[in-house]
Amino acid sequence: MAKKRKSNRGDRYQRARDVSISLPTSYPKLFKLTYRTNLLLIFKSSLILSVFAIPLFIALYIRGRIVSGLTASEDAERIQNIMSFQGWYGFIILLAFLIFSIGVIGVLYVMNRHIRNEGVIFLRDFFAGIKKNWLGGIGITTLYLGTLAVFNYILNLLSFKSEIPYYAILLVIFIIVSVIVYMMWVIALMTHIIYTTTLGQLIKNSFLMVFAKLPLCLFSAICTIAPFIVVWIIGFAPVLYAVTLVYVAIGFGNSALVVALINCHIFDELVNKKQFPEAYRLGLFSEGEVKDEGFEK
Amino acid sequence: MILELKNIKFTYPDGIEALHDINASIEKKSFVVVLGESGSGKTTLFKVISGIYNPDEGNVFIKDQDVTNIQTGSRDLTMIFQNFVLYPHLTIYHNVMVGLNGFEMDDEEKDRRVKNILSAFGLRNYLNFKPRHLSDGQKQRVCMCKALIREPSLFLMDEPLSNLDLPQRSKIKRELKDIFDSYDSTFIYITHDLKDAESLGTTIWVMDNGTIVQQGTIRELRESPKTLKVFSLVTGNNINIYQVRCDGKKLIHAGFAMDLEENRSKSAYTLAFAYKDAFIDPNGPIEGEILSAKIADNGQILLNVKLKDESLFSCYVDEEEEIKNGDLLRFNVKRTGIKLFQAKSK
Repeated sequence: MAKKRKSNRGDRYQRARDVSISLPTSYPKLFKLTYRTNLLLIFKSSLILSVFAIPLFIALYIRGRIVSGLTASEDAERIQNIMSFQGWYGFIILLAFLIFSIGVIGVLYVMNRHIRNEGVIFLRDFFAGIKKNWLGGIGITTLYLGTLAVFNYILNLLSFKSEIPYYAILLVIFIIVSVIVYMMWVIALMTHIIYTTTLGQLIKNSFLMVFAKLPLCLFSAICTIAPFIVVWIIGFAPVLYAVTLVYVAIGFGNSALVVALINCHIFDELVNKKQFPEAYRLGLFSEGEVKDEGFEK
Repeated sequence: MILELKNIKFTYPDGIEALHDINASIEKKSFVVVLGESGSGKTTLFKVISGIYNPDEGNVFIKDQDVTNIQTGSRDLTMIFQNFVLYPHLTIYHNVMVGLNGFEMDDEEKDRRVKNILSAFGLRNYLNFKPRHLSDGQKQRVCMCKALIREPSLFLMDEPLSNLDLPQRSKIKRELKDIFDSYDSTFIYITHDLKDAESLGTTIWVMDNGTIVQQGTIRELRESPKTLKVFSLVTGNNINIYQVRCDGKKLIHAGFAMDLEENRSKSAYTLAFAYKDAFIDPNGPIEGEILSAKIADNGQILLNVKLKDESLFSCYVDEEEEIKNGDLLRFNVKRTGIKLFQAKSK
């Protein structure tokens, strides 16, 4: 009797493992399929991005320590110290982000291969992606996030001059610009990975695409960096550490997948449909193909 | 010659002689099907060719090089079995790529090869899937891709389709034929299934009792079988067998007598002919009473008939024939279909 029960459990386990799944017919289905068939890809992506994010994490951690020390100083000296620190810190964080962006390029390259059904061997493709795109990726990151860092520095400088009117408005504008620049940066990176284009076209296209597909781009930003930014602003350490851990485990990989999927969709709609029909919906299948393959449920 | 077997003999440790007097060779770009019943030594031969077993006597040559004492991994061959040897945690793409481990070629070339072979087997869409997401037929096709991607001189398959259902088998057989046409490899396919041999083999080796009894095309084997066993195997066991005597051109059985086309020495023989070579003939020499009429696998009606001497006789008839149990009918046999073996032949 016990033996029979064991065998039933075994059957159930086997049935659960031997799942039949459909070929993806849309990007959301591909997202779901990735979680069902390639969860390891997401874990690996998260882990490797976490390694590339170590300098960034260290820089963010050190900032908190130093700023709390500076606040104890005298007024005039304090401002000078803070601004000097902000200058150096902006430079260091940019460097740390450049290192992180190299990892992002590798992971986005892997995700793009995965989405386009090109077949992925993680480390091989990760380093191939970096090898092919690192210089462009660093250039794009320096351009977009460097500009943002300079704006941030100026804004900090202005914050000490109380006579500057409408500082709050400037701050809101800066936050909005930051979000737009982030969305442009992501599109520019993906464009650089997939297409051959000049820097001018890259800037122009990323700008146009963000506004052409603003809701999607915002959704992408919300799914990727928003949780981290929110807990960073709240500043409650245990929640921050917990969210960081989630990102290390799965969040970075999930973000990369979402970014790659949304951008592939954007490119399909705005570029591939007319200019590169052979690349349109590459990696996705029609309902007819799914039926032909006998995978229809 | 791509493969040459000379005087191969192999005995298992428990004393069972599995192979003896194996002498055979295969030319480049052949599709050899090794056909035999269970226990005839097919799989042992497979293991000797692949190097899993070392023969007690004799030599194995691959591309004129004696590989008898060379390990499996160093022989220019790949093999697949009836169970699917795939890494469950790797994607289909990665599983096939593993087949190229140890090859000195750049990643792009490897990538191109993997995609080409997966396309040829209709698996290009499933690159990112894991083996557990595929049907058994697809898994076996992945195994074939993994083996064939090395483009070996010899590709050995040990009953690769035996775990699959009929539609899958037919599909894979068609693909295998296409693949054979487009690759330079020589294929050796071990099976007990006649249909596989018929549809795939350019040459058939019939194995019985540890040796290759006869080799040739399926047509040659059917027309001139050396033994009753060979005839039985190449007709799928759908044969009538009788003990008869011959006297010149006369063939005599307890239940019937018929004329032959050529003289035979006066002796006892075993007569065999396939069901498909017998037919209803109002003037035929064989008379019998219909016992049953059933639909056979080939869609025709299989008649089971009792002869005068109580022996049984079977033949196929078309569906249009109106036949009832108990009818008395006469039959004849195509003379080209008659096979006579010395009475001792088994």
